[in-house]
Amino acid sequence: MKIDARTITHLEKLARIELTAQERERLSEQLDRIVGYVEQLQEVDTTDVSPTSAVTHQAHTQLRADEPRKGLERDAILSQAPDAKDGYFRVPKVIER
Amino acid sequence: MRLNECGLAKLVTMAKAGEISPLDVASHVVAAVEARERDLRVFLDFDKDELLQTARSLTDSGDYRRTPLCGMPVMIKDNICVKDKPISCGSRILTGYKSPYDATVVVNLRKNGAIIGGKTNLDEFAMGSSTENSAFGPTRNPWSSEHAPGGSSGGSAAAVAADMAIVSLGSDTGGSIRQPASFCGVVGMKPTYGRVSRYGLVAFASSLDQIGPVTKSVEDSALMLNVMCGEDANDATSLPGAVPDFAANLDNGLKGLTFGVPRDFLEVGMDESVKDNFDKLVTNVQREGARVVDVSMPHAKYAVACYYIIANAEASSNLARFDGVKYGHRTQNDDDIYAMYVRTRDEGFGDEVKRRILLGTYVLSAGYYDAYYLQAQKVRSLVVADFAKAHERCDMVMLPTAPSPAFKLGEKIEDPLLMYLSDVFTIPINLAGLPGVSIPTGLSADRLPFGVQFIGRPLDESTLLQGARAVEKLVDFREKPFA
Repeated sequence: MKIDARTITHLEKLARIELTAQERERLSEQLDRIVGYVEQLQEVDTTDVSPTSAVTHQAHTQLRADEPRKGLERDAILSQAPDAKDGYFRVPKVIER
Repeated sequence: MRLNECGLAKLVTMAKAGEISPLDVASHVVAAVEARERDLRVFLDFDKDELLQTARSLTDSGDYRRTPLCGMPVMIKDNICVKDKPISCGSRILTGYKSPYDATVVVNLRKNGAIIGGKTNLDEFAMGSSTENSAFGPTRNPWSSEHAPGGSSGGSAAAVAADMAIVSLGSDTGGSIRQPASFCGVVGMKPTYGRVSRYGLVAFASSLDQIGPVTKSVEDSALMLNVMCGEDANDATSLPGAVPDFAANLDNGLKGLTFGVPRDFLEVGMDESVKDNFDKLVTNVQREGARVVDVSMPHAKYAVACYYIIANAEASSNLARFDGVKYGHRTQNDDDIYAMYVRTRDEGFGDEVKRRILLGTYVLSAGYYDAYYLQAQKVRSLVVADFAKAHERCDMVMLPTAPSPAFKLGEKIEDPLLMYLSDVFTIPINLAGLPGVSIPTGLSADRLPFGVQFIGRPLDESTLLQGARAVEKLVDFREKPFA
């Protein structure tokens, strides 16, 4: 078993997800099967094959000129946030006094 | 004549000739939605009054006749932003959120005279093959209420199949336009990676995501592509250069075209009925004057494994933005920032999204990166090369769209791996960034549609659509889900 309870707990921390004990049991079993399935990639000979991160069908990524331009309105963005004040997103306290 | 049953091309022609108005079409669409929405659950947001009001003002002004889409309504998958409209992505984590802007593709549609209609149901963040992962419950297949419409663009496909839409937009990361189109008996197209700007499409796996149309005919897909494509400064992957007229070659027929059939890949298996339907079509295509050649794609069978590493790695990164700070839902239980993040995400995300984020995190984490992620990227190169080699010998590759007709709701939802395998024939195309289109090719014994997809050379949607259109004529599929 590759994905045991300890691995899952570690992944939860990294991914900022917290599972209930019941969810953890179910998901670790499912993830273990999926990882078992993707193991088949190990049988492919990839000697001298370079990795592909995206297939863009163009020689170069298009870059725009590095000039300031107008983005979305701040207030329109903030109006959709769970909590905002004075032009900022507001979150629970991050630093202890 | 019920206008909601007509395709886009026909309605545009009639509207230009002054025989019908946008209001006529909108009224018929609204009537169909009112009659069928309760059974099928296609829409997550549908504002009937606004649709009729917009159609009425367009009709009164008369300007619609000078635009390519002539005031016809387009339904939008609910992971594409429409200004001031709720966008849920089928997730509770976006509860209450409204898009502050239009996606580029929506801007393009409006510019070309479309009316933006309702938002269609989907698997949460487009992760799934049945719409069962929607937090708001599944859409039903119009051909059979016990069956899934496919996914993730199941709402968009069911809407077109049930004539609750003339056309709709979907997004396709591993088959999410083509597979539901196949399950619902309509046409679904994924353009070449980069053809359509993704600005305003909520990102799932950025190296694979592409927006495309779901329509009632290949011709309608060509008309939609003509107004959807083009370079966009807001999406660095959008392709520069002129957009061709995708409808130009449509009626050039089968003669002179070569279709490639990857017999080795087909050995991964499929329902006997799907195989029969596919083989008969291959024979027909050959008999009608096209060349059919065997091509070899030895690495395509690894595409599903490759995809679930790459797509989930990208998803785990893309979905990090849903943290309770910027959009939608935040937990009530937020005594410190860490608790706020994890509880918001725990309450907001469904099972499949959590599974994929965790899997993506796993394959990217220290010690596993080379074994999984890097190896998957290398295998991806081999899949790309398989297609390039195949396309040296043929104009388009031909495959069943899915290994079975629509499966039953509930049949695969408890077994994620089994669900993933329903995308075995669509996923390789996303890995290679190629254009693919699925057309309906008949009905099973229990009246569920079959689909076949064609996969073209990069950027050569014109030839692809010519071939698909010729086969569409040959099949002459006229069945409807309702008697």
